[in-house]
Amino acid sequence: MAPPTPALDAPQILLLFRDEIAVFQIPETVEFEGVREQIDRLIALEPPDALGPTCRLDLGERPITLLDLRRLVHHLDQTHSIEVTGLYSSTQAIHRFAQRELKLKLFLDGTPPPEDLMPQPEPTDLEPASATAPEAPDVDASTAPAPQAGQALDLDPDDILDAELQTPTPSDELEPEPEPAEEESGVRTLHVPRTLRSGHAVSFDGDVTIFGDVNPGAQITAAGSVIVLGTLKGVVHAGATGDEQAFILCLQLQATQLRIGTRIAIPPKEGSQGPEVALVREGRIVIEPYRSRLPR
Amino acid sequence: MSECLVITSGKGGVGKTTTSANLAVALAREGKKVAVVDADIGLRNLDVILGLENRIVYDLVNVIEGQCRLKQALIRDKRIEGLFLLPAAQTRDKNAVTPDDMKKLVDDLKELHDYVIIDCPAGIEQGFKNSIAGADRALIVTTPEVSAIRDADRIIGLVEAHDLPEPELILNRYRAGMVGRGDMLGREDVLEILAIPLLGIVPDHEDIIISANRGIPASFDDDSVVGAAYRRIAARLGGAEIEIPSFDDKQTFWGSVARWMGLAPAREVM
Repeated sequence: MAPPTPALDAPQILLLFRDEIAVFQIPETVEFEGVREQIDRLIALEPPDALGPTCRLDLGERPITLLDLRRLVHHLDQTHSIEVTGLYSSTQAIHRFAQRELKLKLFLDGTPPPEDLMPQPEPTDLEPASATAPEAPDVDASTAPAPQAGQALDLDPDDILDAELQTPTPSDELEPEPEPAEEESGVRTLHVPRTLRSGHAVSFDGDVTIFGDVNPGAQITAAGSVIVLGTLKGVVHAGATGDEQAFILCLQLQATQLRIGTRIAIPPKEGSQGPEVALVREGRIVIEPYRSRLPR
Repeated sequence: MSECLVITSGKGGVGKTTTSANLAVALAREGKKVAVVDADIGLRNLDVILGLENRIVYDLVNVIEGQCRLKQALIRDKRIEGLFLLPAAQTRDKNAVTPDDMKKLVDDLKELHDYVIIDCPAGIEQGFKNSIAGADRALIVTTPEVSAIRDADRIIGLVEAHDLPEPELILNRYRAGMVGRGDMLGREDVLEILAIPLLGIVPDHEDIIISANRGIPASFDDDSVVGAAYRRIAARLGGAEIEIPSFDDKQTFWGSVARWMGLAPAREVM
C-alpha cells in the first residue's frame, strides 16, 4: 500500500493503491457535492497513466445512495476514462445494486463476499422489514423482507421522464435469443388473485403476478418483475432493490407511473391495445408490445 | 412573513379540496410562493384535482418518517411559477402522522413559501387535529345546506378552542337563483348562524366538475366565473378589499325579461 498523496483541503479524499490498483478513499465527512471535484483534483496531481485503466472506491462506513454511486462511477468513466471495478463499503443496502448493475466487485474487510450477497435493510436508510406494508389489506405479502413503496431506492423525482413507445425492429424479431436461464435459488413469485384497489399496497422481495387490475392509487413494489394479468392503472416499482433487468408486463397499460430500478417514467396517455412490456433500455424506460416472449 | 391556512369544513364533499387547489393556483398567479399540502392521508384527491397524480414519488408520510427530504417530495407545478404540492400517502392512514409532526412540517414549509395551504380531511378526528396543528388561520368551507352548516358550526367551535384567530367563511356552491326563489339559504341566513366573517362566495357552476376531471383548477381559466371568485378570495386573503358580488341572475337576459313581465320570484321570502 502506497502512502497517501499530499494533503489538499481537509476533509479530503485519499488516493491509495491496493493490489496495485488505485483506490479512492472517501471519508464520511466529505459532502457528495464535492466528491467529484476532489477526485478531479487528485487525478490532475498524478502523472499521466499513473492510475491505470481501473480503480476502486472505498466508502468505508460512509452511507451513499444508489443514485450518487451511479453518478460517481459514471463520472470517472466519462471524464477520466477510468473504470470503477471494485467497492469497499459497509452500506449493505447498495451491495446488490453495485454487484448487479454496476458490475463492481465488493470488498468487505479486504475480502470479496459470497456471490449472491443479499441486501440487508439498513436502519438508517430503510424501514425495518417488520414495518413493511402492514396496511396492505387482504394481501399476504409480508412473508419476506419486502421493499417498501417509494423508499427501497433513493429515487430522484427530478429524473421523471416520459416513457418511450418502441416498436421492435425486424432484426430484433428474428434474432434468436439464447436467454440465459438464470437458475437463481431463492427467487419467488407472489400471486395475488384479485384486483388491487386504491390504497392497496403489495411489497414483495421477488416477482409479483396480479390476477386482476391494478387501479389508480394502488401500488406494487417488487424486487423482481411485475406481471399484471389485467389493466395496470396504478404505480408499479419493479426491481425495487436495484435490478434493472426487471420488467413490468401487463395486458393493458394505462399506468400512472412506472418505476424500474432507479428509473421513473410516465407512460403516454394514449395506451395502445394489447399486452405491453416496460423495461429499461439504454438507461431509459421503454414500452414495447409483448409478443409472446420478452423483447431482450 | 409566511402564513399557514387550513381549509376545513367538518362535512365531506363541500369543496375543501377544490377550494385548496383553486386558492393555491390563484395565490401563485399573484406571484406568491405556495405549498399546498394534502392532509387526507389514505384518501388523497388533491393530486388528482391539480393534475399532478402521475408525478408523485414521495409523499407527506415519507417526509415525516425521514425516508426522503422535504424538497424531494414537493411536486413543482410546471404550469405556473411558485406552486408546489406535498401529496398525501395513499397506502397509509391518518395515524401515521401526529400533530407535532405536522407542526414541524408546516414550520419547514413556511421557511420556503409565502403561503402553506393545508387541505384538511372531513371529520373531526386525527386528520383534523393534524391539519390544524400548524395552522395560523382557518378557512371554513360550507355549502348553503343545513347539514353542512351544522358541521361547519361544530368545526368553528373546535378551531376556536385551538387558539387560532377567528376563522373565516367561504360559502361554496351558491345558487343565487335558488336563493332568490327561497329554495336555498342565502348568505345572510348562513352568516346569522355561523357569525364569522365572510371571505367569499363561490357560485355553483359546471366549470368546477369539468376542471376537476381534467386536473386543471378553474383558477387557471380567466373566463371562468368560479375561477374569478377564487381569485377574488385569494386577493382578499392578502388584505385587498374587494366586494363580494351577489351572483344574482338579474344581469341575465331571461331574468330581466321575467322581472319585467312580473314573473320574477319574490326575493324577500328568506
